[in-house]
Amino acid sequence: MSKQSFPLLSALRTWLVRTGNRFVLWLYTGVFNLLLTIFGSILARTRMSHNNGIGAVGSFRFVDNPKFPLHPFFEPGKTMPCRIRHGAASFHDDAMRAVRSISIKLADTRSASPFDLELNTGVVALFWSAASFLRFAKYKKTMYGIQYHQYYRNYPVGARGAYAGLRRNPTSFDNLHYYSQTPFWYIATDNVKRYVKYRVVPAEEVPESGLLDDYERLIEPGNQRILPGETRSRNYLKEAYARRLQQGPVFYKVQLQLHTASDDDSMEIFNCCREWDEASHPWMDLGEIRAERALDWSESTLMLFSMNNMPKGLDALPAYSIFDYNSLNYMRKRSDIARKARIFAIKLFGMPPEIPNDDNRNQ
Amino acid sequence: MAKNEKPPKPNLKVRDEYRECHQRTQITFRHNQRKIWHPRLRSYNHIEFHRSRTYGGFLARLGLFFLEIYDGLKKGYQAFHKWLFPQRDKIYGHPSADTVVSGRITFGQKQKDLDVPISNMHLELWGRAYWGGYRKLSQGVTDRDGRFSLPYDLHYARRWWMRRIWLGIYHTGHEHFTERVVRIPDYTLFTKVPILQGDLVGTEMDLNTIQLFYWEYRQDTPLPRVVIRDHDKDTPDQYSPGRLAAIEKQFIPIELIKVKHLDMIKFAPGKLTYEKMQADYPENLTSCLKPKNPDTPDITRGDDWFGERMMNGMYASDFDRDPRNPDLYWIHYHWNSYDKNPHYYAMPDVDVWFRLKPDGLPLPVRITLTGPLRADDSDPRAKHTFTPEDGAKWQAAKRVARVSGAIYTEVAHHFAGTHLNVEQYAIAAFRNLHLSPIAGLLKSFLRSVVLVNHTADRILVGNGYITSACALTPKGLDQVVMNVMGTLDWKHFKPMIPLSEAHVFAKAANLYWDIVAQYVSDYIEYPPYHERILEHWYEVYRFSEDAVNHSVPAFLCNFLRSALLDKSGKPGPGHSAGWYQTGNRMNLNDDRPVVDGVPRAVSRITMAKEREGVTDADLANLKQVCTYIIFQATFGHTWANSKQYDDIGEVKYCSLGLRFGTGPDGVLGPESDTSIAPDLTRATQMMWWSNMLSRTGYGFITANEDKDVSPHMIEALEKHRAAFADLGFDIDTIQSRTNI
Repeated sequence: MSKQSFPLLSALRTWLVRTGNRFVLWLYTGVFNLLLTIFGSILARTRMSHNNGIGAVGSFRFVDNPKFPLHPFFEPGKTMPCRIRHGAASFHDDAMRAVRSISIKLADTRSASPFDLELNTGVVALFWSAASFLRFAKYKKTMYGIQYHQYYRNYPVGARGAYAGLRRNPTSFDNLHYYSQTPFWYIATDNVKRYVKYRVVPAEEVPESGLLDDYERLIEPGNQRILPGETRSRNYLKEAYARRLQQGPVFYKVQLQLHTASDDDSMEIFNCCREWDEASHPWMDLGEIRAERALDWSESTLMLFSMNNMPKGLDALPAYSIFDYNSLNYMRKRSDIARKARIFAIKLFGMPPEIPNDDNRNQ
Repeated sequence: MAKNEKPPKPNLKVRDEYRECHQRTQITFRHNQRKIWHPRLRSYNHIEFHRSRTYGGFLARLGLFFLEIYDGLKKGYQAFHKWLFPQRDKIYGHPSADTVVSGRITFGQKQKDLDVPISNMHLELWGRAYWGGYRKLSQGVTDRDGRFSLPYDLHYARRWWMRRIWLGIYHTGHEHFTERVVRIPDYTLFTKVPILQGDLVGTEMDLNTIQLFYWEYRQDTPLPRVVIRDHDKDTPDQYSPGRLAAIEKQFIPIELIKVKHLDMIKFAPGKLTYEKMQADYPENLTSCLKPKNPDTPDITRGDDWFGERMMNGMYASDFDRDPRNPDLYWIHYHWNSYDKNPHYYAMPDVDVWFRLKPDGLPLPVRITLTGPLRADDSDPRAKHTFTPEDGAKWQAAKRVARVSGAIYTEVAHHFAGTHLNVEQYAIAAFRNLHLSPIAGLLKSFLRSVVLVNHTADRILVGNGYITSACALTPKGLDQVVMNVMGTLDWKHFKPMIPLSEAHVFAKAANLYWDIVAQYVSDYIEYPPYHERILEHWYEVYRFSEDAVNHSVPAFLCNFLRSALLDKSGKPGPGHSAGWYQTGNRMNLNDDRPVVDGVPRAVSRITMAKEREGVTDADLANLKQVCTYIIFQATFGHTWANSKQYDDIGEVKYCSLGLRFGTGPDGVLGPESDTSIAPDLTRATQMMWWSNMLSRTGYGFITANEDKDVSPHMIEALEKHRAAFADLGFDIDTIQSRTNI
C-alpha cells in the first residue's frame, strides 16, 4: 500500500526524518565547535583560519540610487562607520598560494555590529555544506605547506573552488575580488522572498592581481608552498596594504546579486560551489567602503566577525541537515562561542606573537 | 576418371577393422561418482608432466574429504545468504544528478596500458545495512574514456543504518541462454571499491582513476598472451566448477598409471618394458589394429594407413601440389631454421610426396629427410631420399615423418593454431566487448583458453615436455610458434578445399564452417542484436585494434616469398602459384596492417569508430572474424586435440621425438630398437599426454554443460548430425571451448 494511503503517517515520517536530520546537524556542529573552542580558541588562541591578517578602519556609504528592492537596513546615501580585516587562509606567510579574504563590520568596534560580512576570493567555495566542511577539516593533513591533498582528490568541486579562490602573490589586498559565495535571505520591504549573494571589488576597475596562470593551475591545489627563490617576505602583503593606506584612503565597491525565491527552485541555488548566472542575476552596487587607516596587529587580532551580526531579513538561510547547502552558514552562526573564547583566552593568556619576517617559510 | 565412374571403394576388410577399433577405442566421459577413498587432484593448475599434485595418502585424502565437506557447507551457507539477502535489481532512494560518484577506469599495467580506458564497464553502487540487506544505490557504465558518473540519493546513502558502501565493477562474463533462447548478459563482479560512507557528502565524490589489472597483455613475450599472476587466486578467467570436477575424475586414473611407471623406473629399473607400459594405458586405435597373428602385415605401418592418417588423422595436413610435378602432393616439415639441440634427438627436415589413389586417399611415394640421421652426422644439409622400394629404410623414414608431423601438428596446428590463436582473440574480446551482442556470440567459446594456455606454458612448451622429448630448445619452440602465429589471419580464411571424396577432414571442416558462418550471420543480422551491435560499434573497433596491435609480425618463409611473391610483396603474374593451396592459410593478396612499422598477421575488422561509418564490408569482416574464432576454438581445436590419442597413443608407432639411436642406421633403425624411441620416462609421459589431452574432456557444444552455448548453434549442428556421421565424425565430440 502506498504512502499516499496514509497521509498522516507520511507526514509524521517526514517530520521525524527532518527532526532527526536537524538534531544531527545540531549535534555535529556543536561537537565541532566545542573541539574548535577548546583546541583552537583557548589552547592555541587562534582563529579557525585566516589568522594571518590586517585590519583597517574607515566608513561605509550606501549608494544613493539602488537598483534593487530595498531592505530597511540599506538606507540610500547613509554612511556608517566601518571596520574591515583582510586575511589569508591558513598559513602565516603572505607569499604562499592562499585564499584571501575580507571581513566587513559596519561599526567601529571589535565585535558588536548591526551587519557583518565575510567574503573570500573565488566566485565559488571549496566546500558546500557542513558535512563537506567536516571532510575538509578531516583531510587537512598539513605538511610542509601542502594540505587537503586527499580532499581535493575526492572532491573535484572542492578543487575547482580552490583554483578559483587561491591567489599567488597579489600586489595588494585592495585589487582582489571577494565573494560571499553562500546565499542569504533578502526580504525587502515588498516582503518578497529573495536570496542574496555579496561581493567586494575595487572601486575603480583595475586588473585583479594574483590570479593563477596556466602554470599555477598545473600545480595541484593542495600545494600552497612559496615559489622556489621567493624574495617576498612573510608579511609583504600586509605591509604593502599598510603602506597603501598611508598614501591615502582605499575604496571598495560592495555589490549584490538577487534571486527571487520560487517553489520550483532547485536546491542547487543554495550551492556555494555554483555561480549564479550573471546574465539573469546581475551584480548591483550596494555601497562603497572607504578604508582610511590600518590597524595594528593586536587590534586586528582582537576583532571578531559574526554571522549573527545581521539584520532580520538579511540573515542566514535555515538549514535542515548536515548535507543542506545552507548548513555552512548555520555552522558559522553557531561558532560564535569559539570566537568569543579566543578573545577571552587572549585576555587571559596574552596576545599571540606577531608573524616575524624570518626565513621560516611555508608555515 | 570418367565423370560417371564411381571411385573404387577402399579395402572393405580393413575398413571394418578400422570401424571396429574406432568404436572400441572411442572415448566416453562417463565416470563413476568419486568416493572418499579416491585420490584427489589439487587442481587443474597443478597438472605436471612429471608428477602432478595429487593427494593419495590416507590422511591427506581424509583431510581433503573434510575440507570438501567444509567447502560444501560454505557453498550452502553462501546460497542461503544469497536467498536471505538478495541483491535486488532496484535502485533505492531518489538519485539526483547533482550528487554523483564519479571516476575513471583504466587498465592497470604500467608503461603500456596505464592510460588505456576501459569503456562500457558495468558499475553498481551498493550499500549494505546493519541487518544484512543490500541496497542498490545506483548503476551505470563507463564511457569511451573510461569515465563514469553515478547519480545517487545522498540522504539514502547516509542513513544511519547503512553499514558500508562500495562501488562494484562488473565485467560481462560468459553468456547464458535460457530455454527460451534469450541471451542474458552475465555481469560478474570483478572487484569492489570500498567507499567511506562519511566521504559521501554531496556534489561529486571522485574515486579518481581506478586501475584494474584486467586482461593485461604480457610484456615478456611478443606473443599476445594474457598475464596470470597467480593461477590459483588471481586469474582473469575461471574454470567452471563442472570443468574442475570433470578433469579430476577423468585425469586421476591416467596420472596414477604414469606415477606407477615413474616409480618403477626409479625403484625397479628393468622391470618396465615398452610393451608393459603400453598395455597399462587404455588401448588406442593403432594398438587395437595391431594384428594378433605376427605373420599378418600390420596395416598401421602400411603406406595406405600412412597416407590416410596424414590426410584425415590428427595431422590433417595441408597438401600442396609439388611445384615440379603437379601430379604429386607435397608436405614439408621444416625444422632446420630453428634453434635445436643436435646431440641427442634426430629432427631432420621432412618432405613427403604423395600420389592420390583412385579412392581419393594419398599414398606416399617419396620421403626426403634433410639433416643428420645419426648422432655422428653433422651435415644439416645432407639429403636422404627414400621410396617404397627401400624396404625397412622406407618404414623407418615413414616413422620419422610421422613423428615430425606429430610434433608439427602438436606445436603448429594444436598449440599455436588453436590455443594461442584463440587466446589472442579472447584477450581482445574480454578487454573490449561488454555491451555489444558480439560478447554474447563469442565469449562462451573463448572461455578458459587463457587458463589452459598458462598451464601449457609450464608443462608443454618452454621447459615442458616437448623440449625434453625432441631436439627443439625452448628458444627454437618459441621461434616455431612465432612463425606459425605470423601466418594466421581471419581475413578470407576458408577451410581447405577437399582434394577428393575421401578427404574427410576437409569435408567436415567445410561443413562445420558453413554451419557456423550461417549461425553467425543469423545472429548478427537478427534486428535487435544488429541494432545494438551498431550502437556499440566502438567496442568492435577497440576489439579490432587490440587484436591487430598485439598480433605478431606477419610471416612467410623465404622459400614461399621467393616462390610466390613479386617485388611488391604480392603474388605476381610471373609467379605461378597454382601449386600452393590457399585454404586454411593467410591470404597473400591482403594488405597487412602496419603497427610500429611492422606488418602484422591479424587484419583489421573496421576503421569505423561510429555506427555512421560502418560499411557492409565492416559487417562482412565482423561475420568472418566471428566465424573464424568460433571455428578455431571448437572444431579446429577438437580435431587437432582429440585425435592425438589415435595417432600418438602408441609409443613405437609415433611419438613426439625420436633419438638417434645406437644402431648403424641411426634413427632409421627398426621399431624394435628401443634406443630410438623415447626413453621410458619420456615414453610414459607422452602416453600420459596423449591420454590426458584426448581422454579428458568437458564443455561440448551439444552437451552444453554450462548452458552457455546458444540453442540456435546446437540446433544448427544437430540438423547436420547425419551428414557428419556419414563422414565418420560425431558432433558430440566437438568442444565448445579450448579448455584442454
